[in-house]
Amino acid sequence: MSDSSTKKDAAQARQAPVITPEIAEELAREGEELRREFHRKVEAMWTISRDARQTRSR
Amino acid sequence: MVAQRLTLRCEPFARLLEVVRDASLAAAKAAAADQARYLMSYLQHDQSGAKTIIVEKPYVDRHWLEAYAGYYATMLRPPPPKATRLHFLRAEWSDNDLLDLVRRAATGERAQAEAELRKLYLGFAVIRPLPSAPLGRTILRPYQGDAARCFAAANVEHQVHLCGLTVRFSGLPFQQQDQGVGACATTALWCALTKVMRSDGNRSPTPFAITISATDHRVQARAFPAVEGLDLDQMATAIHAHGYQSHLIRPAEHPDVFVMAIKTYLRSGIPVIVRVRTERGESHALTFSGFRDEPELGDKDVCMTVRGDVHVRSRGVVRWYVHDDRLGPYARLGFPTDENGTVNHQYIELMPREPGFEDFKSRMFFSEALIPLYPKLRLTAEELIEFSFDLRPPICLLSESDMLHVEPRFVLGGEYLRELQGKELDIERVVAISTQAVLSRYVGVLSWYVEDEWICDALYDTTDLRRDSKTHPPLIAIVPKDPAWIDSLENMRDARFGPSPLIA
Repeated sequence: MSDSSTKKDAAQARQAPVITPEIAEELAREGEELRREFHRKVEAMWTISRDARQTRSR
Repeated sequence: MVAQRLTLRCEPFARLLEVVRDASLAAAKAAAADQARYLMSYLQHDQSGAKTIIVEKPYVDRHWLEAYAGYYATMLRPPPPKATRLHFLRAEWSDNDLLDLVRRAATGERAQAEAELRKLYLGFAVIRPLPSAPLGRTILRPYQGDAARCFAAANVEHQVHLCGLTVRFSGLPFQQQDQGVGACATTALWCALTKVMRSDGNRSPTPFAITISATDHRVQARAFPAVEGLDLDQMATAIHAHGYQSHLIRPAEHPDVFVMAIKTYLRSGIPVIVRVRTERGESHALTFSGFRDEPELGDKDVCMTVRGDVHVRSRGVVRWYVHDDRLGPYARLGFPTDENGTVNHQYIELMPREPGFEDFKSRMFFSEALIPLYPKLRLTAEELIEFSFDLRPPICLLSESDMLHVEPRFVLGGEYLRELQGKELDIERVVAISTQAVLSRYVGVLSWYVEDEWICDALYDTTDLRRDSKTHPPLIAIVPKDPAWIDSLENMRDARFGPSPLIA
């Protein structure tokens, strides 16, 4: 048996992670929750004060 | 009328300051402008290696002529309406070398002559006949020596015509602030708008036109002379008047997100106008034109945190390259490290290569960033970054790695497909994506990596804003490197992304 086929077999033997529908639901919830929290930071970045708007750059 | 003849002569590059002084009509003993000294420093560096200046006089420059007609012509003692143009070459040339090149072009060797000139050509500077602000429109090639530098935002092609020869090269235009017609804010807007407008097939604006458009509706002080500068609303008005949308952000309490947003726009080829507050409390506007990021993940990563934990990271920015009208094009900035070696992303500092610019090295604190956006590019960089939180959990699980990082950008849909056709993917997968994905003009791309290895792209529609959390993200496609991921990502699609995304 060649080296390359040995490596291929070894890779196949290793249990590659799989996302089942159940795990997918869980990951989706986790991602969505984090994203929603992160969005608050983004909203704060969009709020520019009147003073800042009226400051001139020379 | 006195007959006017064009004069062309070659000068050694070491004479740059004298050549600028004479062309700007400055007094013989006048000190060199900081911008002229910076130009010398930039061009004599090994990565440019300028040896010769071709002095072309007179030169009719649209940008100077418009300022002249709108302001200087009505002075009691106006300066001359024509300028001088300096071309920089990386070889030692005499007047005879230039004449020989023109002779070759005239005897059937045009293509070879132009190719030779292109190989040596480093850029040009228009010198205005203004002793106090000599540097007019100046376009230099950015340094090419380091692939880790990203100059996508400086990638504007220019055609230079010299003695009937045409040279094409890329660079982001710079000019020194001339307080008669523009402030630093005007110059920063001009640099950024020139890139986006030229990239969309339009003519670049002039500083005079920018000041007019910024002060057209709301005048708080004199428009000309422009010594009072521009405020944020006026800057946004100028962007809008030129057909673009001005997107405005501030670091708030999240400087890493601010840094990542700037990096995202620069990687997408969009220059960013950044306002900083100097240590003296003044507001100054700069145009960010490029950056260099860390080759590996580490202490300097740009980190997106939620509840104090890092969930998404991107490679740290080591250098920014900035058009600063106090100095010149591609000036180096960086984040100073504190005594513990940690990086603070709230402020930046100029890091000039040569001595003589120490006065500019004080800290500058980020205030706001203003980005001129193509009108249909409605998804912002921050929203694109936000979508990485959706994808991080499945990608982390499938890659079995915590050393994930993401590099977001916007790219033309067609260009993305061309890039994909160069990747080492199964050909039938590439064909499927190229023939089935419906792409917006610009797509948002989240490219995921484990260390240096690319593992997945996610493509987003950019023609709408981010909707509330109950709607699906505007995901167009997910392209994993490993086809074994496809089944898992299809399960994720059903759970979170809706039926639309193509997973191939």
